[in-house]
Amino acid sequence: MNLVRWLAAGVVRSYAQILFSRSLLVGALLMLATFTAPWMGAVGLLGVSATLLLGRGLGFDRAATEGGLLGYNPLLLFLGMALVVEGSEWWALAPLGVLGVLGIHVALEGGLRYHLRLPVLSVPFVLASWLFLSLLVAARGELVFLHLSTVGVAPLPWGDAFLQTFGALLFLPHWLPGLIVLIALVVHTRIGAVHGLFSLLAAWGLSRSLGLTDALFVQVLGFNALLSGLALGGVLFIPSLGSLLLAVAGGAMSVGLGLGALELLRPWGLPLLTVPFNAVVLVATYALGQRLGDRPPRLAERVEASPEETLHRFRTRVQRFQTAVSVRLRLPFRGAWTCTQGNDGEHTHRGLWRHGLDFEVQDRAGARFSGDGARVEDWHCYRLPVVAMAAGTVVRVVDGVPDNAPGEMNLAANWGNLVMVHYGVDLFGMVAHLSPGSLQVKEGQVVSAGQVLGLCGASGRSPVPHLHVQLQRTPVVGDPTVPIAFHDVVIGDEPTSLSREHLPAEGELIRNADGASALAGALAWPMGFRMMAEVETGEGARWREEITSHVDLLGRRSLRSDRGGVLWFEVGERSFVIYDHEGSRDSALYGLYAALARVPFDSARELEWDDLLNPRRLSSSVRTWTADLLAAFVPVRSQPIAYRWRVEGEQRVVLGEAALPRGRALRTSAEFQGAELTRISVDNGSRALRATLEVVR
Amino acid sequence: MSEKPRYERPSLQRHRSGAMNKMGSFPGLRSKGQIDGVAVGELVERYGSPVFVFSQRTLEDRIRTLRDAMRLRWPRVQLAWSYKTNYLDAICQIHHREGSWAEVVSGMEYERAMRNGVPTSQIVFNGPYKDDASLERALVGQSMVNLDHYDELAAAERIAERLGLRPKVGIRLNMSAGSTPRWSRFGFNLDSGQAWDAVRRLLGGGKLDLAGIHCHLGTFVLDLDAYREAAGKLAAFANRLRDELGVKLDWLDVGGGFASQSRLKSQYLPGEQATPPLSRYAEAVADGLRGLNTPPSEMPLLILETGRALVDDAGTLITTVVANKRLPDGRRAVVVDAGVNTLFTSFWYQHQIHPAVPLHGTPEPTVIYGPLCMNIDVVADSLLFPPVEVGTHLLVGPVGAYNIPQSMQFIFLRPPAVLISPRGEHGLIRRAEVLEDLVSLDRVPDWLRGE
Repeated sequence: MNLVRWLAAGVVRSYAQILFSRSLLVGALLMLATFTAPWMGAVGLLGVSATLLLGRGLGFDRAATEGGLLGYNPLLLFLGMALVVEGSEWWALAPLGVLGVLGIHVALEGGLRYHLRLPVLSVPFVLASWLFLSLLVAARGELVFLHLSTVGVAPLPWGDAFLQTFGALLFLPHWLPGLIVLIALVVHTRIGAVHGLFSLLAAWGLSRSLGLTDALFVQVLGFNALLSGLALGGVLFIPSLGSLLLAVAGGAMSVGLGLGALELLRPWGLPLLTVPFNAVVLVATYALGQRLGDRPPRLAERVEASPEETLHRFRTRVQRFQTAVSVRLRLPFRGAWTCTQGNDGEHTHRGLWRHGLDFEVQDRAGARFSGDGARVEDWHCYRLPVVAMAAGTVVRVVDGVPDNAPGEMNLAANWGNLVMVHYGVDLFGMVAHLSPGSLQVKEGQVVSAGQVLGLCGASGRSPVPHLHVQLQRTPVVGDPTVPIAFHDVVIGDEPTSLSREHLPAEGELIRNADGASALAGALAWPMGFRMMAEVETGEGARWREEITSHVDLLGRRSLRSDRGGVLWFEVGERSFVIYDHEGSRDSALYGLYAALARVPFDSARELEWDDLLNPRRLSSSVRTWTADLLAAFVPVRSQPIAYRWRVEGEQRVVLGEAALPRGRALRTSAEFQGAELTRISVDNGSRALRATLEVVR
Repeated sequence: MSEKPRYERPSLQRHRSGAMNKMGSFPGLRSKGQIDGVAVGELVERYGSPVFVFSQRTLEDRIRTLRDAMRLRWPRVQLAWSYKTNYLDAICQIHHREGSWAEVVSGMEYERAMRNGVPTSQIVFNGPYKDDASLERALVGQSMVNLDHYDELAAAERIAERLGLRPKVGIRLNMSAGSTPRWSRFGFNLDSGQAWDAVRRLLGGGKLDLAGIHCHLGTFVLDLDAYREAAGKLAAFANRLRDELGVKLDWLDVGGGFASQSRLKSQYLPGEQATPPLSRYAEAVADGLRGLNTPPSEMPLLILETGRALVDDAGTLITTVVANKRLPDGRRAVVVDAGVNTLFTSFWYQHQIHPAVPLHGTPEPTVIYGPLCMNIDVVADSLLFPPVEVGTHLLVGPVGAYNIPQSMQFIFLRPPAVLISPRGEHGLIRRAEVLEDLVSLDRVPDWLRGE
């Protein structure tokens, strides 16, 4: 039974992969289209089934087989075979075809992926087809195309040629299969369809201006342009205006390349097949992959389920995690300090040093010193520890400059006593005006984040004790500053809010999130951790779900539900983050994603923070389908959600609230009892899900 | 319009010592007509006399000041409210609202902490006698139990074995530090090597994990160097534990003992001048711990069990003059309605006593007696005080620490306690005792009832 289910899924997805999809619906539609020519449909189905079974028998990657990645090249080969062989001859030749295409696919796929980081596309199909046709020619002396019997339908009065182009993708240049392919494409991806159509339009325009025949375009060049546009525009690149231009260029290039290749292949008697598509996409992908820097069209890190998925995942990731500074820095002090001069400050943070920051300590009454402040010892920040902002190597230490009496400055030794630490490739952080003799590190010493470097002082250009902090690209003291920001910063005191990345502003009371929270224990979810969820929806559906924690080869952590679905998460020292949820919204995992996308670890009794959710995880409807048509070309903000927590004795509640489009609201809550997550709920006004969680010991 | 000068009866006196300086100022004689903006008269009218009055604002301010000061110097800090200092529910709950855990020294205090909603994992359990049931409850509840002696260590092991647990425990250390008297009766002695032996015994037993070390120097410690030295010794001990035995500590508990603004009887300078600010204590502790050799990600939690320094200054006792007398030795005496039954701390503090209304007339040496029919009932034995009329309210402070738990039902019933909120609201946090509270505990055996 399992084998049948596995085979059915693999076969159907092999069809879907022709359009870079894993959807069973898309696969079923394409399969239906092939059966408009029953012989071809049968040959394709048999051929791909046989290949998958062989692939399983030989022990190739099960996931690849099931996802259709092993099957689409054989499928294309067999669909093509149906045009040239039939009857007993087919039975004799099919096993050769199976072995040949599987071998070529596996060999090429691995090589291209590992050595060039390129997809194999349908290169195996092209090579296997050429070998097979040459074999036929050798055996028969010449190539005879069969007249395929197809479902008889009259040509359309209008748009027939357009739809034929889509049908040609499956060697069936008729309007009916073409229509089915077009429907499958739109079902799978609106973004991809737009890219494909633009590419097709460009190719058609070029072929018109070159005076090519409609037949040549419809039967050979058109679908190559369509596939090129789809692959470049939505599958391998992140959809954007740039990828649309790339798709247009790809469409045009595929015509030019197609014409050239036709001329090259003529003496050999070999058909063009998908040569233009493969050549254009591989060359463009490889070439654009050689760029340094980050500009569109950007290569997608991996092929997602659809271009829509690629786009929203990318956008959410960029908006949630893009940082101004390449290293996660923490504030260089302990406890809460006040920023007394921000960037572009009125005293000294100007010009080349505009990204500097000054900090001092104020007491509850707002005073920076006790008594009359005439002695440095009166100042609250004087001789408080100054710590490393991240792990790094000390590259410069200056000591021995005396502390000034309040009101005095030492302009000869501007920065006073200082420590410069190398934090990243081109990132150096300096803390200055430290107290003489208080430095606790040496040049060359490796320091960890939070390690004490020295004590705050009033040396150098420091009329009152304070801490000066800046980042630079070089280790030279006094070089220009670059932008600075700190991670997991707690701002203010009742109300207290947390900022994931923060540039302190003048007058702000700030501290590092202290990492002290019982929630850190509740969300640790170590490998092998299991919990049972009793889930109930607003409509009254109930089920039990088992959730287990996994770590993959790359060290990525996930929760997986026995109902399918994956939740990617990470636990840091000072915060917990859920990266994404893949799978149905009918799962406790969806509740976890919405209710706990980010949880800072801090001892504050009340805390507010916000984050962004991937809007596609929250809803999908016909409306989002139509929005997809433009989604790649308009800036869309991911769904903001505001979280806050309350602590009452051993009970903690994390509440989330998001304003959804069209006036709806999403409300979430997660309840913790001691160090255990006990309940979650998500309600978007029309759909509610509640889950009671219990750890399995 | 200026007020017409009052007539004051002249009195001729010889020159005397005792004044703070040659200008002859008498500290503590400013009148204080209100507490946090609430008139003394209003409080007495509403709650009677005597009455304890606590300032929520002062208490919260002290807690935050200490917490802030320590957090500026150490990455992981936790205050644990010393229950014995003042375990009124309202006072404890103010601490817990501010994020403090509980530090208890008996099963009764442990139960009080649980009543106040403190999770058992946030209770520090100290003291030389933890009865078996309380010890078991604390170990099961994953409280921070600091073991005091070998017999307690053995008891904890027996409980762990019987229940199949492997609890984390701490041990209490004592040591000589600075100029403070040594409290060597609690815990294991560090200087003699006894503490190291105790650790080896604990680890050798294989039934408990060592997770913390604790010390408490004493009470009303004015010597900052004592903390610097004690914290340094703790850090050195923790380093040795790590280096030689691979023990990584979860917590380092430096106890309490910070002084309040009160003035000991032996003390020459008044509290405001003699007592270091909380930030100096924090600095001393952090200085001492600087030698701790631990990577930042494994820094143990620093626990402070400060009691007196947080609550003492928040408490005031309003008492009322009930009589004036002249003693045979010529001193004046004043009898007030609260004595050592209510103000236990009179035995070691020179309390500041402010009249609620301005007093005129020449101060002369005065004894302030309580209302008890006992010779020991002296609230202040030698004070320069002007003549005062019966019915005048006096404010005694600071009295927030130890008086509430240590006051007695002796001769008189115990007074109520009132809290004033930062917004000026006030209300009872302990009602006045009535006779029934006392006699309901009494029993008369049958053989005394019959004929």
